[in-house]
Amino acid sequence: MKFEYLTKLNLLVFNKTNIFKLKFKYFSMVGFFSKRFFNIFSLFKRKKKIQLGLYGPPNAGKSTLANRIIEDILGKDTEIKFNVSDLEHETRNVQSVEKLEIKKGSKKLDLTLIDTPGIATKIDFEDFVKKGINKNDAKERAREATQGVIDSIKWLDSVDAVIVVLDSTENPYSQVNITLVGNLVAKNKKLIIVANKIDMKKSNVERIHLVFPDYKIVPMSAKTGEGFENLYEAIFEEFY
Amino acid sequence: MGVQVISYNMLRKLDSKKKIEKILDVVLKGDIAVVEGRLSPDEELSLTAKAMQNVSGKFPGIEIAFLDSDGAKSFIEKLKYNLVKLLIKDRVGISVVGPSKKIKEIKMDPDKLEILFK
Repeated sequence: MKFEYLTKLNLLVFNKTNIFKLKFKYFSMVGFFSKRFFNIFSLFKRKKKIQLGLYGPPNAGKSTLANRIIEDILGKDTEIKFNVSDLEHETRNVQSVEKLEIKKGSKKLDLTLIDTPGIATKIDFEDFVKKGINKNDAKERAREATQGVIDSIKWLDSVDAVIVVLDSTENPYSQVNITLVGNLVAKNKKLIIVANKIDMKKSNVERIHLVFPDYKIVPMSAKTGEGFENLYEAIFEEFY
Repeated sequence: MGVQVISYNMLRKLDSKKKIEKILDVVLKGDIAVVEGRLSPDEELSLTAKAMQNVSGKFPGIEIAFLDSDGAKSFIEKLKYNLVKLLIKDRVGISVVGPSKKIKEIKMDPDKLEILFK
């Protein structure tokens, strides 16, 4: 940016148009400095707001992880809790909690945590019937779940950063996982991968490393809390 | 159930929306679409959303998988692969999309696709 000093002498030799241009430059300069001042001020504040999305396939443990984060920040007595279930598509609406603050030294992150329905390419009401839900409820659950997937996909544009939650007992090399990560990269979203359910015998975190070698992977169990302490570290490292 | 092979030349003339409609038309008829090349990540996600919009009792969704030759491990192999990809762009690999009513699972492996029918 080029700056010009304004003096009375300068102004006298300019016609009206030039005076207008110089005034414009003067005000631009004020704007420029005030912006820098506030940027410097925000350095001392060191607080950043982010919309953090929890994404992944159904039943990977997104809501369990959301609950663990909420409980850790707001305390065990908090009334804010998302429904969790062993049955797929328990979360069928995008749900969020605002003003969750985490700290690391002088750094602060103000999170809006967005828990999303699992992304799937198929939802068959008969699968719910097989799990003991009556036919009408199963159909309604399937209808809500399909809308949930559509909403999750729409919300992808609104989040600043994403925790991709994967079930480490399942094969990570699936179309849904690869499409999801591919989209986050294409949309320039920051991401970390949580390899969840490490408390299970079948857990295999190495497979996730092999499929997604370029991303920060946090092995943990949202259910038991094992490895949870590494999550905030990763959040500050990747998102701050 | 039939298999329709859709050439890259046919799809490249279409915009993303029409491309997705073309593939979904095949699948909604109950056939498997084998597509030369790969959809973009955005198109893959749009295809998922579009499939969800069409879910009903008779059509519970799709099975989708792709085979990409990105199995290169060494630096030279990766360089060669990226050069080829640069030249022929999204024509690399094949995508398979089928109705989940008839397909139980498509097992994806970096080197092969295995379609398991119900």
